[in-house]
Amino acid sequence: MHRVKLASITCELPTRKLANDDPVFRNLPEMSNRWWRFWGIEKRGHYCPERGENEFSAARTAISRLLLNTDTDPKDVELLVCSASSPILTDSGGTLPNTGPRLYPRLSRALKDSLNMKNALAWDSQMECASFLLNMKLASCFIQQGKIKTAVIVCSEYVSNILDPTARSSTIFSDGCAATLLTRSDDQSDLLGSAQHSNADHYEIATGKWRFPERKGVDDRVKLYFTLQEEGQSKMQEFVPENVPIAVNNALKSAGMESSQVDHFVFHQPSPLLVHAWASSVGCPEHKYLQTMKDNGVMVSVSIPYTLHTALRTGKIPNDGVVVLAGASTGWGFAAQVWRMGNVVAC
Amino acid sequence: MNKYHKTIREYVIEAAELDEQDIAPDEDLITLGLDSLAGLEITVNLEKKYGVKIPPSRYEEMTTIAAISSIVEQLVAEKNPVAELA
Repeated sequence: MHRVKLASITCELPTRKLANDDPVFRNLPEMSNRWWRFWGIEKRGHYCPERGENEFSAARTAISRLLLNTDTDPKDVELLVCSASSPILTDSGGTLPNTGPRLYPRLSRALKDSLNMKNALAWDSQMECASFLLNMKLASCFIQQGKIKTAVIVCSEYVSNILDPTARSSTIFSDGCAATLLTRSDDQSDLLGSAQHSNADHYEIATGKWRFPERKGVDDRVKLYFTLQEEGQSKMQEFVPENVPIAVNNALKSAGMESSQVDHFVFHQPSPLLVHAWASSVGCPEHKYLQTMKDNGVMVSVSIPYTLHTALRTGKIPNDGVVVLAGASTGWGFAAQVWRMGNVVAC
Repeated sequence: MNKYHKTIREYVIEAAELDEQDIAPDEDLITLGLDSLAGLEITVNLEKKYGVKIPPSRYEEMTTIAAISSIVEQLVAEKNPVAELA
């Protein structure tokens, strides 16, 4: 078995940020303080398509920066794994003849062609908010088993494209992109342990479905919308707080480590209350984790890599530190990983 | 009523967005509209305030302010028995 290294990470965010009182939210029902307090969000980023911002352009920019800063030739990338939670893709950078919205070919095909990663096995995966963890695990397996030496992982979310402007849930989510470069390890870096489990008992709480807007009279057409059940916010509290700690404890067990040996925890960022509950349940003190949702919203699969990127850039993680990545996804899935970090290029 | 009652009452009113009404210590919180979301907010606030975490196995007991106060008193005593006795 070879060791695997998180060699580099980068993020690309929208240029436009919307505050809670932005006119885009004018068609929402009256919002309770409880709603805002639970999600803890004051600003979120939405792409401006008129500025050329979308899931493809952000991913292309992020990967280009990643390869440039690590002096990696695109032809040396042997695996490209992408995720985009919106089923609708809006751009292919001219690599596909049809320039309109599409369901597939997915993002990996367009990025592979556009960036000349001609030797890369390329595919797309989907685990919503936990897609980054899934992709990191999949790519790590390929590297650890000696099948490849270099992989690029991309999570690119254009989720504002499927938000119902009349539904409260439109205030939660944010667009954004993160990309990482994984390589065969040349130092102490490695994926030390991981765990994931799933439970579909509550899948209906949060879904993407074709429906009318929640409020009539605004845009009475059936479209694809993210859909949070009326009672979904409270139903989530019956199982989400306990399942992420289960994944973390299982990952630590598989790594043969205790929580006290972890230098930093990076959690998915759905709510300050949930993140606090997860942290305290695994013995993680407040100084060992960050919360990034206040100024960035919930960036779906980008929340974890963005928070990791922020922790690296602000010196929260020592050069040989042990980091736990953990989160949950709708559906529902739960995952955690224990990484020994090396010299990571956070660009 | 123990010394935690006042703080817990404030947390309950805020989490459930109740009016400043008089909630009796033994009034059933479920009938007042408290749900699991409010429960999470209350337990997180209690943990930040007193440094004790109410285990999920005791959530079903948290049906009144008096019951929550009793649980917190017990957990604080277990965490720091000398200080609690003093």
